[in-house]
Amino acid sequence: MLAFYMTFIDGEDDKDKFEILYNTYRKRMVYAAFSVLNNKEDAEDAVHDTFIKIARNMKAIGDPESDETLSYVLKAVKNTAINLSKKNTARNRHTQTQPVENISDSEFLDRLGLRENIDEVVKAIKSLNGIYRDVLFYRFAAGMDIKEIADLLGRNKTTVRQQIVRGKKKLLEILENDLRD
Amino acid sequence: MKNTKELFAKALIEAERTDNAAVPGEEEINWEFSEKFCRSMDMLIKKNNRIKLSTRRTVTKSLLAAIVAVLILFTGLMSCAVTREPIIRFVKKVFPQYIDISLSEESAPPVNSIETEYTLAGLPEGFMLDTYQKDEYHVFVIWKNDAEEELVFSQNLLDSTFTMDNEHNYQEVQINGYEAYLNVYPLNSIIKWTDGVYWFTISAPVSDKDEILLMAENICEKN
Repeated sequence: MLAFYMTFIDGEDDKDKFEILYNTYRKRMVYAAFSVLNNKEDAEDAVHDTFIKIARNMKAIGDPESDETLSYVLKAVKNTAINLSKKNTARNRHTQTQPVENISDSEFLDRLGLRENIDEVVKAIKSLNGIYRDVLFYRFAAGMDIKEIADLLGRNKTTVRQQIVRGKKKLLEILENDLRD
Repeated sequence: MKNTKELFAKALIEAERTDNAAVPGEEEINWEFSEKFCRSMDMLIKKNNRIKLSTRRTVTKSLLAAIVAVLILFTGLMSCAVTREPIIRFVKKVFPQYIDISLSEESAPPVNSIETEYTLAGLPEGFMLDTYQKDEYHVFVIWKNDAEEELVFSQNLLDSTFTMDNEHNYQEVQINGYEAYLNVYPLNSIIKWTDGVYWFTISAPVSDKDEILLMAENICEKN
């Protein structure tokens, strides 16, 4: 069985939103991609490929001109650019991960103590490694599932699942160390 | 939990907002997009109001090549898990420079964690274990020799997505009756294949196709 793989943007609202995204962010996206790739053509390729990924999951985009959407597209293009720069390196295709025990969302959110120290949590997020920060952003701020995040970031689902768990643990570690200091 | 989830989302957005403040505004960035880029983006936005999965570098080629082939149909899995959907389909997205292979959405993997661990039946002379990682979802092993050459074996669940280079010495072969994807380079070769339960990958410092096929055909259960 063969079928053409096409992703449709359903609905006029999403089509309009997609066009707004393009007009609002394309230069900042190419700027971010160029800072990774240092090559004009590759940077434009990364932007183009990112727009395709964004189009596949328009439901994750809320207000196209919000801070959240700016972060969403910049993170997405940066990851696409990084993947593009690694594409010909076979070793990078192997994921090297250590076993990690899960921590549930509810336990994680409880332990963050957000009501008492949201500023501390913001500070801790900023010091978190970008790999974890990205997956936590897409999981909790954009409300995406693992499959959607994996598709957008070009990582496999197992990797994303583990990075979310690791990201939660690292964030808690940072907070606990900060509170101890 | 809903409230704390919202607070955490706010914290994540706030962390990004302060970082993004350093990014120049759209109007401050002096970038002339190439004609090629504008043309392909124009296609994405306007033409038929739909997005075709393609890469911009060779749009026309991609329009032909970006197809999904349903690769493998395992009806025999019924005996492994009678309560599960017995059909497993792999989707191969073909691009000009690479292919993506993933499990189709309607499939149900026969296992959700590594239940049987596999390894290479024999190692070439001089290779010693360097890295061994295993968790619920994958096994990853590297052996090295004195020349620092690496022999890599991995075992993953079927829901993993793989990318293969289809530009350089790419071939589709069979391993024990299953479709396999092979790259033979001058200094090493990579092969990926499935047995219907797991995905396997071997990356070996060999330039001989038969040698890597032999390794793949003879993996065995780890004691």
